[in-house]
Amino acid sequence: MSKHHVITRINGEDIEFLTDPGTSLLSALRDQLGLTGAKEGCNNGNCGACNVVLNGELVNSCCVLAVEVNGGELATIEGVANGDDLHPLQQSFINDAALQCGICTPGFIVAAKALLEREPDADEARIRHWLAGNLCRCTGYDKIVQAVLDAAPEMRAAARA
Amino acid sequence: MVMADKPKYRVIGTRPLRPDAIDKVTGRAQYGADTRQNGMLRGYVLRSPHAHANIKSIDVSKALAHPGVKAVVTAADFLAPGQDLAQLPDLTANVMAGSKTLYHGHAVAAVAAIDDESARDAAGLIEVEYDVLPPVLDVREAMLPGAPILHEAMRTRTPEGPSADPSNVVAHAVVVFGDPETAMGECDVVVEGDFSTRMVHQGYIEPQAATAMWNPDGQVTIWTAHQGSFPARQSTATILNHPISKIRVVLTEIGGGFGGKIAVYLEPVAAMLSKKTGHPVKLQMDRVDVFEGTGPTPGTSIRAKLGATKDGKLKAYMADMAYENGAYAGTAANYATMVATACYDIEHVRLDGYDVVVNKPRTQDYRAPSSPAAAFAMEQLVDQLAEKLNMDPEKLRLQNSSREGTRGSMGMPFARIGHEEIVQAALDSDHYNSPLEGPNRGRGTASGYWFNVGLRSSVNVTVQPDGTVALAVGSTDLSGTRTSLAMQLAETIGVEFDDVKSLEVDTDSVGYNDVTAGSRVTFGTGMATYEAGKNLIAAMKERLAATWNVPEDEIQFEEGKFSSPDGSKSGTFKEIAQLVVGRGPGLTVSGSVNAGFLQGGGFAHHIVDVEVDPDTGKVQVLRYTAVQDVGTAVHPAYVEGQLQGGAVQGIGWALNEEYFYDDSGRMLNSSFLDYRMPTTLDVPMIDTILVEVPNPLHPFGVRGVGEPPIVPPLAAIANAVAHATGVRQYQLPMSPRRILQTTGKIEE
Amino acid sequence: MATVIVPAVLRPLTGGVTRVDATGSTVHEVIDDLVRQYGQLKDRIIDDNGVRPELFIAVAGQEIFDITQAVPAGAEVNILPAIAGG
Repeated sequence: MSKHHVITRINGEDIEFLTDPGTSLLSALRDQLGLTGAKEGCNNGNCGACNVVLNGELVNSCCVLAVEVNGGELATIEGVANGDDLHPLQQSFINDAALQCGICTPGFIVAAKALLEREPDADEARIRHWLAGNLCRCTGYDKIVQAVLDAAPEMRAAARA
Repeated sequence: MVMADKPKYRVIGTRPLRPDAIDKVTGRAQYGADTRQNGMLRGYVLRSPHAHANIKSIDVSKALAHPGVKAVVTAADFLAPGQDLAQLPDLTANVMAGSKTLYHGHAVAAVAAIDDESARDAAGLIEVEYDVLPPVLDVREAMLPGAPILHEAMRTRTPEGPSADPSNVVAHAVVVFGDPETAMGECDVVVEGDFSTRMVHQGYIEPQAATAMWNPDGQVTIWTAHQGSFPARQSTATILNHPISKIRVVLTEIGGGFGGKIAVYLEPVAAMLSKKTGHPVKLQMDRVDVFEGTGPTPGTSIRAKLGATKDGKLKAYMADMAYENGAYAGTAANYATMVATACYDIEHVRLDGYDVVVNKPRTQDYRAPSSPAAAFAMEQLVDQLAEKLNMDPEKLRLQNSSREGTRGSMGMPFARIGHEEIVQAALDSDHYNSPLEGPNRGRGTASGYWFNVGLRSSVNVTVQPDGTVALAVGSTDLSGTRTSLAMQLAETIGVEFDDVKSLEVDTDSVGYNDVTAGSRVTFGTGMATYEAGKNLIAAMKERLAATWNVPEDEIQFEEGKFSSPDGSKSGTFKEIAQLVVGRGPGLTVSGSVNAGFLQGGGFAHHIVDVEVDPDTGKVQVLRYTAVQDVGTAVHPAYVEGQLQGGAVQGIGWALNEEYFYDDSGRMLNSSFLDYRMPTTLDVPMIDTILVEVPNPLHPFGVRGVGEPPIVPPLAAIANAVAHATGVRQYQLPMSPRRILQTTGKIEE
Repeated sequence: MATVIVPAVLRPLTGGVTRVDATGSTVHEVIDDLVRQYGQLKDRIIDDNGVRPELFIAVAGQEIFDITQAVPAGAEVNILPAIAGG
């Protein structure tokens, strides 16, 4: 079976690669493109550790085929910080000790960013509802939810600016 | 809250930002599956589809003929000289089945190929001839005569000597204090119950992954996410029949462990595949492999009886405790007998612990192993007794609480402990004093204990030319310990937290470190760090003596400053370091300790409010408070995180998690969809109350905190459900189906 | 004279006996006397390298790391399984 040629934009950069049609986006990111920030926790869409934003939608990259990003825009954890400047969510996760082992953290940050960009005033209940697709086994979620709440004001201010 | 005059610390007790967090929030941190080595092959493990079977033959020829395949391994590759497959030791046989497969998911062979797809396809071409046997899947059934026998050579170890016939019962351990039969007969009130819990998994989000490179000269490097690089090296060496000095284990970051990453699974297999191919080989589990092929925690059956006087004095406790070991012999029930009565001063006790093999994955530790199930029984009986005596259960607990000097669960008196203090703190808490109103709602409380250990640790400290220091740590960092260790070093040598860089190093670069488990790293590796700090000050004084021309033993070091006896010469640590190291030869010192097995136990106490929907059986956790004696909280946010994480694991274990098997021994719910762990929607904020009773065994009073928090939730929630519904729950999980069955809404 | 508490895991080798009076002024001597009384315990508690890795020993509630350590008269010597946690 011949490979497909994919042309896409990842974190604002033009990227091209070849892929088998059956390869998941998660595999392509990790094994071919050197973007290992998205993690494999379950490979069937139940843990959110592989979250990326594809054409503005939050998705589990394990459930997306690599060929589907052709002609599209992909945002991964690697594009969240602005060079050396951490995103408010990244900073609040650090400030609030919202990570222990850290394996779920990229997925949570991508997911929380997607929420707060759509719903800047999301309250605790809404945050919990949105993040129910991201599993964490270390923290019990308390500090994660707190970190998202704590990042929201700065994100709202930046959006207004 | 602080229970004693706490020394004024500069760094201990603050909340600095952990330096390794930046890599973790940006996705740069390298975990097990992120390892890349040039020329690396990908491996795949073939697993048994049968829960119990003899392996008659394995034909790998078609797999080897697959283009892209470079090697195949089976148990035959792990035989020691003169050994046959039936004689493989358990340690090896669990990693690669020898003459029998003992659980669905048991590794049978492994393939290395140029890519993942080729490895999987080739594994499908391996022909294994099985002679399928009936499995046994229930702990009590496995104990009965006539049950299918897993190991023909197994004889039960009993107090009277080994059993005559083959058995699935590994051992019958008996613990007796006083005269429990007589004492129970004399009690005014007796409550009893037949409790059972199901096998559950630690649920770490990162599946196991290991990469190995076997050089032609026999030097082996293994990159792995494991809870102990040195124990992993030892186990791998044993399985490979290879000297430990020729194996170097390099830790990657690790995505959760909780006890489930103490055993080795992939490391020896990756190494053997590398040996055969001459290439680095990476093996990664998928989620199904993790559920079916690693080490979940035992399901249990506990029949227990608790007796008291009418004044509320607990007098006698008797329990028959059967714990699944999975496919190979373990000691889970033995552990249970060491913790079952820890929270209370009970004079007369008889505990019968039965370790039993069944056709399920070989069980492993899960955060305070064996203690949660033991507490599920004890703490519900305490609650029922309190009801019968018309007493507040917290007051009943306080009246009978273990204290310093109480005969502890291992038969020796407790040193300074904090159970009384935490129950009192719970009684005084806002949560406990807030009324709980509304129908179908109930509040429950429970205590729990883990003994925590110290073990062996070793660290190195290197002084940099600018006077900062690098702390080389060998203990796996599961959740931020490299930061709390850096804090302890900074406290010891009088520098700022930011002047200490801590990093994880491999097994050739630092002295021996026991596994990261038993809540021991902040305590034990902390003691090694303290020792290293002391040794560093001594080494710097030695150099300073020459520079200042002052006798070494007259140089003072206090509050981060060195000074000469007459005070005329002085300098901060950094100034002196720049002086004697910056311009002098390099300086690295180490600190090594054997902190043994007696760390001084940790007690936890939880309060939970629930609402039970009478029509769906769903239990909603409304409010949760975790109280714990934490010794000295080095970094309070991390300590809070341990309490919160353990509590939520307990919530999942209590309400939804279980290994659901069909009659053939196949797990039917080996995915995160159906193995239902808590999500953000399932839990509220978890409030914490940190009670600090300093541990006299540690220079800063540190007590391990990681494990006790998982012990109370099962019973606390069961007690809350009982108060909400009027019906006692004797079985876990308390799933909606189970609640509806026990409240009579649907048939059992 | 010291009292040795035998752990459940070794009790099959003492016929179920838990508490054993043993003579000796050091840990090594006390264990040797215990082994004299119950021969099946030979090499099960201490071997050439000291206390076996699957056990640890505490004297009057304090763990010992050196079998030449003194045992006060009348002290309890606990032999315990070496277990850690998760």
